[in-house]
Amino acid sequence: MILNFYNNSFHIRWQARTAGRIISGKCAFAGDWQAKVMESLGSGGADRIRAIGYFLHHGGEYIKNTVSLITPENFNTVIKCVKFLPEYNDLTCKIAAYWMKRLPKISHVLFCDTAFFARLPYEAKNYAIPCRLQQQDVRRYGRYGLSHLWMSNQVGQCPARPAVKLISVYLGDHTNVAAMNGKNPMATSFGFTPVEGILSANGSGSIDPTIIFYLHAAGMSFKEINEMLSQQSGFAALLGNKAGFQKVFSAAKSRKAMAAREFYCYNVAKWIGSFTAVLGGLDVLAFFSEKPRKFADVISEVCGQLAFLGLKCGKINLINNGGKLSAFSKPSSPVKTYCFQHDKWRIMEESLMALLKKGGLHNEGKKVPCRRGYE
Amino acid sequence: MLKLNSSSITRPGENAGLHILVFNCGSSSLSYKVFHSGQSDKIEPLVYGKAHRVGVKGTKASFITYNFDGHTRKDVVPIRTHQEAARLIFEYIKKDNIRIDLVGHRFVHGGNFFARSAFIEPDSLKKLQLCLPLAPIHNPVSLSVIQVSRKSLPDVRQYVAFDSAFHATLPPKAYTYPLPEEIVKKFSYRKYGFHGLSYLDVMGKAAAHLKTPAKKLKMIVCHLGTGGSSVAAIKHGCSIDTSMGYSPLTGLVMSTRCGDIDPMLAIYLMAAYGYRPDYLLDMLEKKSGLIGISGFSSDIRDIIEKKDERQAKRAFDMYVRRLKEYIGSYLAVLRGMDALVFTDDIGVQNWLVREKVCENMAWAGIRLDLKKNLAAESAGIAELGLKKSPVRILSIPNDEERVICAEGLKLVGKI
Repeated sequence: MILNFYNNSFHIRWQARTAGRIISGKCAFAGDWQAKVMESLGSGGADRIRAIGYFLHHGGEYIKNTVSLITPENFNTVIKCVKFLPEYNDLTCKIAAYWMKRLPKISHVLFCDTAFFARLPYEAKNYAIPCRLQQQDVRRYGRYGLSHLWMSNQVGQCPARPAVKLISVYLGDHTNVAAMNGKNPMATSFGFTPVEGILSANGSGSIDPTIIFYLHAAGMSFKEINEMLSQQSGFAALLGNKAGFQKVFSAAKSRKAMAAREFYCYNVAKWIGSFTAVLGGLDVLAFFSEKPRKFADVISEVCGQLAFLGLKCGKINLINNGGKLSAFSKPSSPVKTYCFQHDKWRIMEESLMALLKKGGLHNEGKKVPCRRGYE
Repeated sequence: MLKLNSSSITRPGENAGLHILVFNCGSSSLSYKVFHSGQSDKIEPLVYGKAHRVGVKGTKASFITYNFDGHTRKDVVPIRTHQEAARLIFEYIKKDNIRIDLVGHRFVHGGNFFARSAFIEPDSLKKLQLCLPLAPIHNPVSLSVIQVSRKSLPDVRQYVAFDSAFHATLPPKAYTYPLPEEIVKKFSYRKYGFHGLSYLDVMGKAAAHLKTPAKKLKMIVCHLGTGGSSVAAIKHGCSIDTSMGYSPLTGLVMSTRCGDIDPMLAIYLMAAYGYRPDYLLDMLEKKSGLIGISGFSSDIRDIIEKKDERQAKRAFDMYVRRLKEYIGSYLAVLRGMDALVFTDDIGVQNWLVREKVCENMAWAGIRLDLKKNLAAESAGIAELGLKKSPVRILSIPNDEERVICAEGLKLVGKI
């Protein structure tokens, strides 16, 4: 049995697959969370676990592999990453520490969501700010690396070409775009934080940063500005409510909703155009989403905007989990387009299995040294 | 009514008409021209020149040029401020006894106070003061030149022309910042865009050169200056998107401005590293961009000279990459284009920047003729594309001063 954990700042989710059956659960990180996990796995569940995966949202400069084995020796490095995103990473470390102690003989695997972009070229990774700030961890980290890497594995290979020029677009609460040359990351629309880039459900996306200084001078505190940019902006601001922007795409009737949808499509198309220039052309454009059907109109509109690339699309056919790879672009289109059903659990599971097959290593019962706060 | 300065000598053949002195402050330069506007609708430059590398911390000395009556002079002198440059210009003009009837000034950001050009009067002067923080590099230097100019020619009417006006045609999807509505309304936060006078001039010249009305053209214009730079997507004669924003800080990598950054970064640096807001904003405005990465110069020409050094190469690569990203982005906005235009000092003079920007852009129909690009003269319009390039590639020197002069003639009712 493979068990995977995914946490935000206060909730833990898990999923396990055993004999074709999926076990999943969710609870708050409090009190007896371990018992709740054990309970969901059923009696003797712990004995059947072969490997556990943990999802680290931000690996900063320390973690450069998207999928890697955690050992008692390198666990310290994971703990060092807490500073990059304390509210999330601290919890991930606590979950991992518990299971490494409890099941020292199995494999423990870390998925790091930023690691893929640690290999971005200098010009993509850094901002045009004084060098000393670049040395103080101020750079473009990106997110969704696990998913973009998975996408490049699905569609970024072509035996006839040395490196496929691929742009992968995630459509959802945190819409973002990544550019890859073969398997090498070339650009991400996320920046130092996921606020930069395309607007999200509550995040502003790219705005003129001088506004922050004016708001501060007008009496807003950093905390208030921070909250405004990451919690009260984006679709919530354009629509005037937090009711879930994805409704916008299924039934965009009001003037505000139409304008918000137009703004969104405009920005997605701009980032794709921008990254096409970075890659020097485009071979494959791949979309993925948890709710791809809700974004069908958006995908059509964005593809229409890119018709000048020669891109010709038919009806969108969705590639489901394990489904056959088939493009929805017309055969004559020089750019191939795909649309995938996104399932992070499946990606974690496949990535973990791939790592185990490659190495097959586990921790061989070494004792995990105790560290303050993560015993 | 205009007050004419009666003490000046009227030179033969120019007794009729107006003499308009135009100042154009760049962040590290000061261009000036005296135009003669006669009975016909033609305006001719009588005097022209430019102060270069004003206040630049670089490896080369600052200098000023002055062209009058077929004579050119170039003085290599330290020019620490725009006021010093303006005083030198007035010295030259007075020495040659050139009559001035009207003075025009370029002003970058007119905020909500100015929707069009305006005479400088006590009331508008107060409003200009209020605009200073909107463009912290340009507005204060423009105002300082206005002060010198008013002192030097107290009896001559003076006016300002604004850079933000050309982008008034941006659609909401291009100018919106998705911030809470009450905040956007209270402070009028939106993308304004700049370099409008240059875009207006170059758009007209491109249309004339291509023998197609601007109303039928889609073009991307790269205004690459020695200080500030921006790009605009121009469709059918209207600006529909541009890289600068509410302020001139965003967009391309510039000589000292950072261009696009994560807005959260500013908060993080203040909250986690304790940077004071004014110190940090000053750093993003004046110590970032090319000088920030290279560490030794804010001038792309210095950086190209030393591009074997690691940080210089990185600065150059980042400058080129950001510009390419914007061209790609605006291609998607325009859904293809007819012409790619380079303008302003770096745009028309620097073949290497143009070559690198056009590299690997065949997918967009951009195919540069390397030889033509290398040989292009910066004085006139140059075709840079291969004959078979679907997109016409042009280098067009801009003349913001001429546009400012035309604005002045409109104000006094001559056009």
